[in-house]
Amino acid sequence: MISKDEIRKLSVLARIEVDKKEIKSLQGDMENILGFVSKLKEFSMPEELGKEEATNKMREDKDPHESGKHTEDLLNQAPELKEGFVKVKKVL
Amino acid sequence: MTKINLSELSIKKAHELMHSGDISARQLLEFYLDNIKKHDKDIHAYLELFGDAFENAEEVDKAIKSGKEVPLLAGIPMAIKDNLLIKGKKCSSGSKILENHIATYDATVIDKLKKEGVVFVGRTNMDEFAMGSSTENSAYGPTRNPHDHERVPGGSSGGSAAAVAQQECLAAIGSDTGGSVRQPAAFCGVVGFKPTYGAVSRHGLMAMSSSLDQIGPFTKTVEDAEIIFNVIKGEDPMDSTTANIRPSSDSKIKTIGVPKEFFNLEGETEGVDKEVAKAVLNSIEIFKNLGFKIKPISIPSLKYAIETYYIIMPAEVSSNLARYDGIRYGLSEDGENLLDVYMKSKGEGFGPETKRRLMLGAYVLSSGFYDAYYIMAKRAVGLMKKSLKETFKDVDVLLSPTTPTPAFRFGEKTANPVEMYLADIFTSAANLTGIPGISIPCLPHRQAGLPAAEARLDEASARREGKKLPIGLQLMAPWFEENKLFELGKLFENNL
Repeated sequence: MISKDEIRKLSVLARIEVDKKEIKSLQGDMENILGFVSKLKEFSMPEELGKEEATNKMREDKDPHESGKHTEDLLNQAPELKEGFVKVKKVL
Repeated sequence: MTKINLSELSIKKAHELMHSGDISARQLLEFYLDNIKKHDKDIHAYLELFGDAFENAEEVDKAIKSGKEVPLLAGIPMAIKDNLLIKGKKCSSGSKILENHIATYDATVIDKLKKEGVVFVGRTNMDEFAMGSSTENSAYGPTRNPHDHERVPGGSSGGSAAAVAQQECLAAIGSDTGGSVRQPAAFCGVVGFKPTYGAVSRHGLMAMSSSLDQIGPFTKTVEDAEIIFNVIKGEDPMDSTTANIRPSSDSKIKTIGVPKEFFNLEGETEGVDKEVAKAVLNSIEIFKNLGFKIKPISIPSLKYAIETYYIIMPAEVSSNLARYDGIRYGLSEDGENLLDVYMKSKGEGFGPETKRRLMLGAYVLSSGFYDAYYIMAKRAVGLMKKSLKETFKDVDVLLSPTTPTPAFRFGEKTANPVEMYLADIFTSAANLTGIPGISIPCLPHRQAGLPAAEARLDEASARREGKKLPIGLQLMAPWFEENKLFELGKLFENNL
């Protein structure tokens, strides 16, 4: 069982504001989905599996593009700017 | 000007017609735009048509007139899924949160297609952030299936699939995380191809689930899919998962394995529609007649593929979508403090399915549940990969239906999310393990409607209220052995 409090806690973890109606429907949906994926627990699997991971192939950290080349394009997408910076609410 | 039948037009044919001067790239684009004008108000495959398409087509015409040998894809009108960045154009991922977002760079795939001279017709509709199997999760309204407007085109790349099926473009690009290219291709009666994980760069594709996402084409024929794949594949320093691995040249296809977890050769398969089963059995007969050995096999872990998928995918979605917080781009709602801005922006900007998956991801990754869900799912993936490696020693290619049923009605699966998830029951395993997969119509699109094909149409489609719905056949090959899928797929098409 997933309680309404748990849904509220998850919504903060996921940074999503949800209203009362949404909490109720999410509670039902989450129970349904978790019940479904829990079928995986019936399946017994040896522990060593899942450790073998594909590895990333990193490029060399060299030849950067000229500084500021994309700055304007990127900043233009921000909702609020101030003196060439992205403006946010007070953090401290 | 030559009169051409768009439904029979392939990439090679269009290329030849343009080169011989029978049609211009501009005229070709006009044909498709005419169809869009006629049909798109009914099916809503496109979110936007690009104003500079004519300009790009004329550039190709100029190059041809000057006597230049242009690449195969030059002048080919293609549609692009709304989650692939084209510099300077809107890109919303089917979401309200990115309604006015302008892409700041070209995706690697877009860059490669531009260099070939592809003409981008427009961006196509999709489920929000590629999450869904019907396009019903698009913030801009659903796309309708060209074969029956009361039914879904599949998803998440439903707009791309419908655009190809309705002759609103010659080919389209989509992304496939759990079946989002193959499933809509099956529902709309076109070819949909998901390459091996690492074969095509995802740089510039809006990330959904990074260990599963791949980019793939929608086409009318297997040959067209192969042509596009050969252009978009390859190592890219901007995607550290890409690799240049060539298939071993001595790969002769002899045996086709049919996993009984997906399709039972000796009787009914639970959940698989009778007409789908019949079409798949007919297809198997074609392969038998061509001299291939059909071998029933068992891979028990495949039975848990969709459950595994619905743990891994939301976990990755919850971290990938954290970036849409109202600060650097997209919708921003004012709040009392920083956290409040995040919560209000996401609460307002995301649709219900996206919210569900973000919450689910937060749940399976949270302390106390991580071991029970995420770790178990990772183990299941390990087991699937191991079993597949063993299986591919015995069989060369795997075969199954692409989907358990033909296209469903609008609203049929929206009340119960799990019902919707089952639409990807046969496709998600290829994403989890990284192997390539292709969905081919049991009756090729280019033959549909032609008199000779009418008799076969009954055997190879599902009838619903007097309408004939397409059925897709899925083939899967070992890692980086896409060539096997193309070889077998072309043989199949030619022998239908």
